[in-house]
Amino acid sequence: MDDLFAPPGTAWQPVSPALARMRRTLLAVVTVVALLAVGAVGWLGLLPRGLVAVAAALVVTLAASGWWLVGRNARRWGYAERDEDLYITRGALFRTLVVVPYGRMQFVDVQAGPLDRAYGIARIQLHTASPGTSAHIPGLPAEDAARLRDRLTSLGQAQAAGL
Amino acid sequence: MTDGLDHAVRPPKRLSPLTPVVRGGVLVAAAAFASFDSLVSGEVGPFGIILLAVLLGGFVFGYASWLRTRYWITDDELRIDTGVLYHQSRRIRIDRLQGIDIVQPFIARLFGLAELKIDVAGGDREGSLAYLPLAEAHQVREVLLARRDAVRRSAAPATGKPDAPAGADPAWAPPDHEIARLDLPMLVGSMLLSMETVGAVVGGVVVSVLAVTAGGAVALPVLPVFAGFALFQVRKFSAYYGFTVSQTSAGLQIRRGLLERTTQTIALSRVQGVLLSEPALWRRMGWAKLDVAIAGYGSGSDSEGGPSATTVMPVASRALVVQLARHLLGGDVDPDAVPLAPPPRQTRWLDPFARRFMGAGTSEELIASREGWFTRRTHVVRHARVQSLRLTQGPLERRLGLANLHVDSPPGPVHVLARHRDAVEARELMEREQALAESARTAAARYGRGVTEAAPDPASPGADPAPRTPDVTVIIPVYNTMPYLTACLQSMVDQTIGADRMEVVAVDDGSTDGSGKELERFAADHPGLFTVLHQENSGGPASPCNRGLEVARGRYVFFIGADDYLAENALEKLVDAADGWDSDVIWGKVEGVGGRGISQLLFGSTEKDIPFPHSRLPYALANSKMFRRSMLEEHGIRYHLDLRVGSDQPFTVAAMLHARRISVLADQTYYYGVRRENATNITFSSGWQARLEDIGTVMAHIAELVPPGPDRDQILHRHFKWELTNRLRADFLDLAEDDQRALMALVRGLAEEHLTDGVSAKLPVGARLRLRLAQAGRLEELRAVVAAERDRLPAPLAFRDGRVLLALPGYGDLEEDWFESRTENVVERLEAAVVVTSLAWRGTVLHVEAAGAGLHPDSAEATSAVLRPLPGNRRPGGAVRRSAKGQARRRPVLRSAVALSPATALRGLGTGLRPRDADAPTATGRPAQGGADLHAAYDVGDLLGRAPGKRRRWSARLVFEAGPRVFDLPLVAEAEVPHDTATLVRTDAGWYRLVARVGQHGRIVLVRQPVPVEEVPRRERLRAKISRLGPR
Repeated sequence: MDDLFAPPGTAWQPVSPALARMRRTLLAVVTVVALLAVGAVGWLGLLPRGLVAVAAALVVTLAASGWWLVGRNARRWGYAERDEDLYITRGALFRTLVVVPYGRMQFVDVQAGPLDRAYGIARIQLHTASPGTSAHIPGLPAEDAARLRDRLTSLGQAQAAGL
Repeated sequence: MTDGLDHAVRPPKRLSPLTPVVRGGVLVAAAAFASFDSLVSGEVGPFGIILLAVLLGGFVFGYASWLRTRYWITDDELRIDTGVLYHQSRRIRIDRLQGIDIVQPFIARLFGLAELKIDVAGGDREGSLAYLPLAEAHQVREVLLARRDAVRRSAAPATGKPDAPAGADPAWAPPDHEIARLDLPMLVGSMLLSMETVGAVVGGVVVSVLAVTAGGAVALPVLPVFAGFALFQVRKFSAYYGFTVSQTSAGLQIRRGLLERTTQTIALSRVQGVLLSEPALWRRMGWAKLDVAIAGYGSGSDSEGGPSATTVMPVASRALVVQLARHLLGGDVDPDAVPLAPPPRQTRWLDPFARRFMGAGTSEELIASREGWFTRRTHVVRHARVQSLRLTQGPLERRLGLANLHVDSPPGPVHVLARHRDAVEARELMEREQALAESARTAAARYGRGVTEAAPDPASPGADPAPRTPDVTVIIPVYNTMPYLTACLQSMVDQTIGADRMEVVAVDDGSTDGSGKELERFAADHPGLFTVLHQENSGGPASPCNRGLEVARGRYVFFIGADDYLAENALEKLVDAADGWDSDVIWGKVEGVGGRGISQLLFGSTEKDIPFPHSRLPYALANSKMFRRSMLEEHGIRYHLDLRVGSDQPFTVAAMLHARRISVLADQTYYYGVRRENATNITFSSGWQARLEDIGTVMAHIAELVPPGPDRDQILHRHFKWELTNRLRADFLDLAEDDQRALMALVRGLAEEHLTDGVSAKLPVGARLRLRLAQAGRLEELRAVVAAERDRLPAPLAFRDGRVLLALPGYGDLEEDWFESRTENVVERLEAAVVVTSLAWRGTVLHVEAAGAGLHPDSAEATSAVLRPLPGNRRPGGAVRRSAKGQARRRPVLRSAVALSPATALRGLGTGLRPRDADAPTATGRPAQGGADLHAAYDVGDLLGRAPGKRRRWSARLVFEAGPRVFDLPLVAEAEVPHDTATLVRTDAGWYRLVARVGQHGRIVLVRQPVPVEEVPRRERLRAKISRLGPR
């Protein structure tokens, strides 16, 4: 990452590698289903073979690029906790860096779907008074998520600065 | 495996088990309706099976959801866990709760259930518990609100004051007064000039063309569009008709509406940001629109709840819009003054026109951005309201080295976005904004000023009772004034008026020498007396003083410099006097300490009622006075922020103009003005430009307050006489020529604006001449005049054309009006102007030669030599002649013309003055500058016949006439003149000795002494006999 998205301290805290794994698993499942559908269509003869082959190739290409993108995306997520605020960065092509001061946080959400729970990760989202604040970190190890949430909540309280 | 959600110790609570029924109720009804006929007939087709399956699934899901939903109320947060597949745990801080609503939708009501909607400060409905039994819902609400108040009370800042808008003390409330009104022509004009109208016109043209070419039927479908447009416009008109914005004690009040009058009140503490819109069609007319983003539940009396955007002014002149914006943002900031830098050049690849219209930047209190080609939108937000910051960069932007900075603020129309900035700059801006927002927040939170947390409404049990109003608030702007600050603060503590009748508001303007710490120390030692506010350095005392005014609660306010101090009883006596006399402005005698000189002209004696401006008050425009606060609030008198030096002058002028009574106490010293040891001196050569600009700004502000005329002249003449003329003194000659010309140009600008004839008449000649020369751009002559003043060259008086003129360099060449003296002390100058150098009798004529260094040869016609009888001369009979009015009259007994010629010796050729040939003609043909040689001849012969045998004495005098003014002064001789020049004269009445004597104070006295014949020397008698034979 270039200077623009450099971390405020030494380095960005990365998210758990389980995030990438979970997403890739999901991708794999979807790909399999899609290939089966294409195969069914081809077997039923609804479409000419050539087209089926093309469709299959397309699905595989999408899956492969998706595989790579998921990995890259997960690598690009990072956060840094500082004394007064939290920095979050994400994105490879469209990069974003968000700073949320602790004193501004209204509340903190921790979300975990069934798949997340299976991989032992969770997603944390910070809310301020502004709906534009898109400060979320997916794929945090579950304990880290809980710890971060507790820490953020208590810090936000200590620095209650009003609206 | 954990799900990342730990479980609180306290047992969780559940919602009502009937919840899935209520939620699913609608679904059931819809399903029943859809399959009505199949239910009736008893058939169940495939569609029905699917429907049943869906219903069943819904029920199962609903039940699972209910099982999963739990909530906890802990000491400081409300926690709600939801979600079957996607677990969600939400924690809401209790002290952030804004409001809790209990709502009962129809079906819920049937079951006796209610929904609890929870609002968090500044956000949408952020949480809800649905559904609970009604009683339990109420109970939960009570518990949450009570806990919130308890938390708030315990966290209330120690020295803070309740967030009351200025002037909310119970003893006095400012009257509502109207700030702006949208009048009908402007409303109609703005609607006509809007895009909708343009679109409608274009559409109309298109439709009519179509109708003509392709037949009427084509136009029909378009008609509803027109109807819609017409309806929209009518509604808009009706909504904005009679739009009025007023200032009330509760905030800004907006009233509007044609058919239905709507009232909305905006509490200034709820304002998050403002949006100025200028559509292209309006820019020509100079119109703009102002919207404001307001946070919080129940903003306004329409109790809509949640965030809202409000139009503060649908259309108005840009200046008015900016003024309203300033008011909304807190009064002491200027949204127009935020420097908006355009994006860098490479932006043109992404957006070719961007650079012309986009901009973003910060000032010390605000961050703003602008964009939009067609409608130019400027978004402005205070640093203290910034929530989070976001930097984004797409691939194209990365290629060009650009990035975008989003400033997240509470929802509303205001979105500050610095688009396409240079990447490095964007990151720096983000870090800087983070720091600024941080300090703004801390300052606000600690000192409870305006930006408080969802201000507790007065009815809630947690609010403090309104404290008693102090009599006087002392406001101290502080910037690096150690160690003098200690004495100042100590004098506040020592005031005899007592800490319960006064308060001190000290505003630390970003001091770096420990002044802030000293303020804190005093505040800690004397709780309740001092309120200390900190802010980032604003560059001058104006912003701190304004801030002090906003939080002041006293009936009077007194401004004191942080390095000065007051006498112990100063405030007590001033307040008593002001109360007794009903004065709006009052101050006490000022004494300079440590070598600082204070003009004592104005404090000669205590005065109850001094008129303004026709008095010496224009010379006392410092703000170290006591002002009645209600008067300041009523007229919105504040300090202008665009002045570093001299911002107190327009403030004091405004106050004095509106004051019903201005008084001064001079029985003792009240205020001690201290000269600081290390007072930084801006050298003339480096500071003159800023100083002149400041003076110009001060004068412009004063001109705004007073219409042109004698009043304005009376005030502004001080600036010309004092401040501006001081720029044209000896230091001026040390500047480089370019600087001199530049300075002259600045003075010229001000002279063009304000140097009216009225002002000019009040100026001393030296000042007027310099100013007029600067105005005319004549550098050479100006330098000559400045040099003459520096070298203290005498300026001779010229009596001409019925006027008194001062012959400064340039006299004779330049306009005569410039040299007219109206304010100088002519008599004083005349007394030293002419000195007799020789006396000689020739026969009966006394020839007097005098050096008139202070007299100009032009005065010849207006000057005459006169002999006046001195007291002691008795007329025959002893009676003194009286005039018709009964006054003793002494007629001059001799009057003769005086000859004045240009002085033969040129004086005072100091550097810078071109030596002038005394005979060289000037442009007007009159003699140029320089004194005169005076020759007077007093022929006493005619006087010899009067009162023979008596001793007579006359005073030799000079009379100068200048129109209505006549100056009559005795001739004065230098010590070297031989005394007692005498001659003997024989007349028919006998021998007389005529003596020209230098008497008391050097005055020339003529004495006619009769001499008995016996005493006359033989020689004389013989001479007389011989001369009688010859021609006389």
